[in-house]
Amino acid sequence: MAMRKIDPRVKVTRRNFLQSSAAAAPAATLLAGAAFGPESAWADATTLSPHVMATLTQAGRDIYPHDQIGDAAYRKAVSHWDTDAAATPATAEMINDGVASLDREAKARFGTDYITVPSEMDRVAILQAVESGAFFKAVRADLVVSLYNQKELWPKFGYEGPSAQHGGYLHHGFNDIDWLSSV
Amino acid sequence: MASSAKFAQTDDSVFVIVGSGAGGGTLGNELAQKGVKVVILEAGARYSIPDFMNDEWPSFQQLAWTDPRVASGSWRVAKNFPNLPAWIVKAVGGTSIHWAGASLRFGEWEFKAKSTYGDIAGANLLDWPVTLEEMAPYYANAEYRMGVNGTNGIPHLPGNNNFKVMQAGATKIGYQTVFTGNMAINSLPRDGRGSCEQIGFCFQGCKSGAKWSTLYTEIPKGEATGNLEVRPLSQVLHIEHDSSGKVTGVVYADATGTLQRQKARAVAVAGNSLESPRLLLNSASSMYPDGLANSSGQVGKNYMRHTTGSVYASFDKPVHMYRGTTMAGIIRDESTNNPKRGFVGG
Repeated sequence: MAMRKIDPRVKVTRRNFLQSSAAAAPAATLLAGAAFGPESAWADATTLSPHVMATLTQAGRDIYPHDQIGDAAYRKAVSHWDTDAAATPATAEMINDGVASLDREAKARFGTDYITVPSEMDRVAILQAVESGAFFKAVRADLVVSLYNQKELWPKFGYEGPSAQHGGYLHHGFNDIDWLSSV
Repeated sequence: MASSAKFAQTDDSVFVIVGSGAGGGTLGNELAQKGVKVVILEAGARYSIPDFMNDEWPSFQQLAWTDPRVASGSWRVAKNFPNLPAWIVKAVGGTSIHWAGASLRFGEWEFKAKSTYGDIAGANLLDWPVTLEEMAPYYANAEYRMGVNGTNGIPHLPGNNNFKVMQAGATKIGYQTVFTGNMAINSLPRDGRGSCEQIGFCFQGCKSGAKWSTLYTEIPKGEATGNLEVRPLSQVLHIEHDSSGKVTGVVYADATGTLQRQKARAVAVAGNSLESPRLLLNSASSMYPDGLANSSGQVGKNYMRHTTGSVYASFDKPVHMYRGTTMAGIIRDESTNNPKRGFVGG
């Protein structure tokens, strides 16, 4: 009767993934092409520009990188900034200024916008340059909920869901760990 | 709750308690059992166990004080979430709905912080005016009525996966006192409540009722005497006193925000670490310009709830850390005062 099932987490470690995918990156970049850049997903943005929304999306992935999660989840996480900006001019200014500061850093260091800096570690360095500012703090703190509270993602992190309706985990593997050598 | 009392706002023979959590709910029941007429004024709503949600954010919205707070200083929350509402509960049962259930006695030296630790820069220490020996009967009483496992012959909770990982690591580096804690969580059915089902959402309101909370222990017992009335959605804003300085009643906002006055023979303030000092300070008068019960000038200062540190790790193989009692166990080997470690306390 155990609820035990195959561990749904992706087994590849993040570092392995970055190394193994490095060789494939140029091909992916070619496929993406100029006509279908990341801005194209944001044609419906009203107050913030597609470029700003695409930058927020990339920054979201760079702040909380999960290779097993698609871009749609990161887009969903940041989409509310467009409506927030429409409601509050100060928010629009904070986000626009923040994205401009990312692009300024990116241009100074790598001669291109943040979203077109090819290396994740280089983009992380750009984020670190602005991490003490209000923009980074607001975006990062928001992601804790806007990204991680998307229930459809929970199984990808290995979470089986609430158990009270099943009588708890008492009879569903609460103590079933079997790989500790001293237990 | 058919037998629950209903007292007039003009009845100045009632004992008013502000807050219905661990302190207020328990005091209300004790007084009611002794025949004292009690009105508990609770700022939050009244929920029951089926209302609790096994989902962190909606549960937080349901149970917590959602007022924005202002955090300052050098701690991590002030840096990352300076306006995060405090995770203390605004509901009947108070933070006894949210607490982990950990029920440890102070060590002897912890009653004597100033004499033991000396002067600590930036801190404001005092010795408690009571000793462990004096408190022992009260600890015993509390452990019995809350059903603390590891006391009164109540078995400890079984170890869940989280505990086993901690136990394996702790044992490997030589710790001896490793167990699942002294928790006010039934490991066997007791006091009309079932035993722990290892649900994993202890902090969102225990859906098995195994964890002690005044919501479904002290409060209904007090109400059954006919001497206790709990008035939810009643936030006390001000404590009033007469020209002699004696408390006469409280002013509170009801569910619609309308101000109401409840007369009282005495008022006990049991609103936890933020709301109690706020109420005392907001009750300032010409006779008590610094607020009530503030001859020390310390009300609203020295805020400290828990000091906690969190460590997370990922393992190659699954632990399923969400399965089971949230506070899975304890290591007590380091629970001594040993300043050689570079800090006082333990």
